[in-house]
Amino acid sequence: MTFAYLLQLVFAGIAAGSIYAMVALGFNVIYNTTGIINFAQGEFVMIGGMLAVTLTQTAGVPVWLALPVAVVVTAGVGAVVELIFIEPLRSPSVLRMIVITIGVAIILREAALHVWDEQMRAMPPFVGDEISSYEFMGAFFKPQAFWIIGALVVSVIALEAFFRLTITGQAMRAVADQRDAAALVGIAPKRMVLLSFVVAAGLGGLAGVVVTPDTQIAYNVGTELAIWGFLAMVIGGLGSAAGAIAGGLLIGVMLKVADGMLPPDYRTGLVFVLLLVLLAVRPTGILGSRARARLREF
Amino acid sequence: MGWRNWIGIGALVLAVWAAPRVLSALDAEYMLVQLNLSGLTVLVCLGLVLLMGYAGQLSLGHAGFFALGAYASAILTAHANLTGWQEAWPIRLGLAWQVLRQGQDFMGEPFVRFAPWAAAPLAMVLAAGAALLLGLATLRLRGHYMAMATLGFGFIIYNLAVNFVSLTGGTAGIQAIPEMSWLGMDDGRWHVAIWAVVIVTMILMLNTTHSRVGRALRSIHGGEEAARAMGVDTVRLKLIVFVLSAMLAAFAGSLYAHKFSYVGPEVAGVSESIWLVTFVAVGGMANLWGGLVAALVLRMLFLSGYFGEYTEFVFGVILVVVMMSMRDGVPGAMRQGWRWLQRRLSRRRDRHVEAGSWSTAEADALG
Repeated sequence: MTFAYLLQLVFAGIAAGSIYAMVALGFNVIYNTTGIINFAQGEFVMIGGMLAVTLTQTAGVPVWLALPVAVVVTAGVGAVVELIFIEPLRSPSVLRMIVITIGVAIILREAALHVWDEQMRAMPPFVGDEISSYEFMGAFFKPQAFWIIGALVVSVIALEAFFRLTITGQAMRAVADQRDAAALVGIAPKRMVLLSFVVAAGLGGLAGVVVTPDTQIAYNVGTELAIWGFLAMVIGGLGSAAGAIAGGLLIGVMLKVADGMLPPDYRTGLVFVLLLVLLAVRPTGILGSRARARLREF
Repeated sequence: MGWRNWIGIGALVLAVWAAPRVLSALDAEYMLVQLNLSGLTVLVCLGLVLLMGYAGQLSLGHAGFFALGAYASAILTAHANLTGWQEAWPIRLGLAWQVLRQGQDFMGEPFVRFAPWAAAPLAMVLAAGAALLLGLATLRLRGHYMAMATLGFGFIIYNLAVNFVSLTGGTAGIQAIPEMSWLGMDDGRWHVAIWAVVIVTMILMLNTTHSRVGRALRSIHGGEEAARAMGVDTVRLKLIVFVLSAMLAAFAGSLYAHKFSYVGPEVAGVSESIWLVTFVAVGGMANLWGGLVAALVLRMLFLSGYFGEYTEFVFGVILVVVMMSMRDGVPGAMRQGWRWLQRRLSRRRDRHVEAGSWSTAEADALG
């Protein structure tokens, strides 16, 4: 166990954790406007990745063009999901909502299985090839990892700018804070819910495009991503963007370090138990607080 | 528990008695295996009805408890070997009471292992412990946490089943699990045994839901704050129901292991847990009879492979449609349709029945 190896594991963990953080951010956007945990969030990542592979490998579209196309199409899927499955609901209970989004996840996953197939799909990194790497203090870093981390940074800045600086973003925050009051001043909450699904799906699509060169993609990766992403959200504190990022990175690093140091038998279980213990000690999450959870800030 | 429920139980007993005879008359005895499996599914779903419909808690990890029971049974009866400890008094006691069995396997190696009948309660205790820990950590929190923690639990169990090869045999699973001596591999005997367990469970649960505890549980689903204000210890009740349903699932898993003398990681799949929830939702959640029929029919449909490669897609659509449009599942929708028809035919106005109906009241009326 050298320092360089540990450094390498931690860095790989940050890259993996960035994806969990992006899934958690997607959860947050929808949770804040609707109070729903959208269990289909992992499927948006899968769709983004699948589209990227099809566009670049089958259709021969360059990556710089495939990326925005995949993000926009995934966002469109998010809009369709909201219009078909969420919009018609009238004050359903949390339990029903959860089960419905799980059903949506199944439908998206099975649709993807029949649009594509059950094969694992790969695409080359944005820069360099599968074996190119940078060396730093004896540790090796894959270039794609920087793209993944970069995607997280860009989405955080973009989200922050959107929610603080634009009228639409501020309207979404108003709906999150006080739905009825927002409706009174002329904001249409329904449109904001639709928009939150579009934003969350686009975010998921972006995560899918950048992660696929690193981990490959298949129709059934969504569930696991949703589990870790949700855990990241809960560990960080429900509803807090900074918490989502902290939680995602923490889980990513824990998983990768456990990957490198523990026998495969029980590492996933161990990480999960550690996280549950953390949750039992701090039920509001690392950065969450009761007041924050009530305010539902982005 | 009213006379309608006793009629239902009578009908169920009759159906269980008739099923093997009808199947052998139709030359379709192979379907007995599917009926056995469906019976085990029904058993898990009855626990889920109590948990989801009455206590209002979602579990996405009950396949994990089922698998825990199956694997614990398999490991205790087929893998564990206490040879060399024979002189210790607990082992001697166990052998004397036939909790443990001594013998030689086909390689001539001596073994001391648990008897199948003793493994099932141990597996249930194990599941109860896991459920207790999981419940204590999450039941105080809101629905989302519970859903996710149970989903994570199922995910862990699946991961352990696949990765902890020395204990679980990995993807190959555990084979040659000893059978129950008085049931053997006979599908007909298992049919009677499994469905007898279902019937006994059904009677116990119908009684529970019509008791003080049942009313307290219903009040949780109706409104947890109000229930607490009325003096119901909601957290304790939810915990008890969660643990009980986990034990029931583990028992079903233990039966599964000894029936098929094989268990593999596919029983622990996360999607398996979701199908269980689907069955309960289609049955109308707080409806034991609905849950029983839905679990039986849908599992048989699932096993028949009627929808081919679109099976999961179809079941996903069923889940979403039922959850979106039928508050009380298919039985609720059928009752609404029936009432609409009655109104149409008689043109009488019975608004009272309309206004006073809610899920569990209707469940009572049905069965």
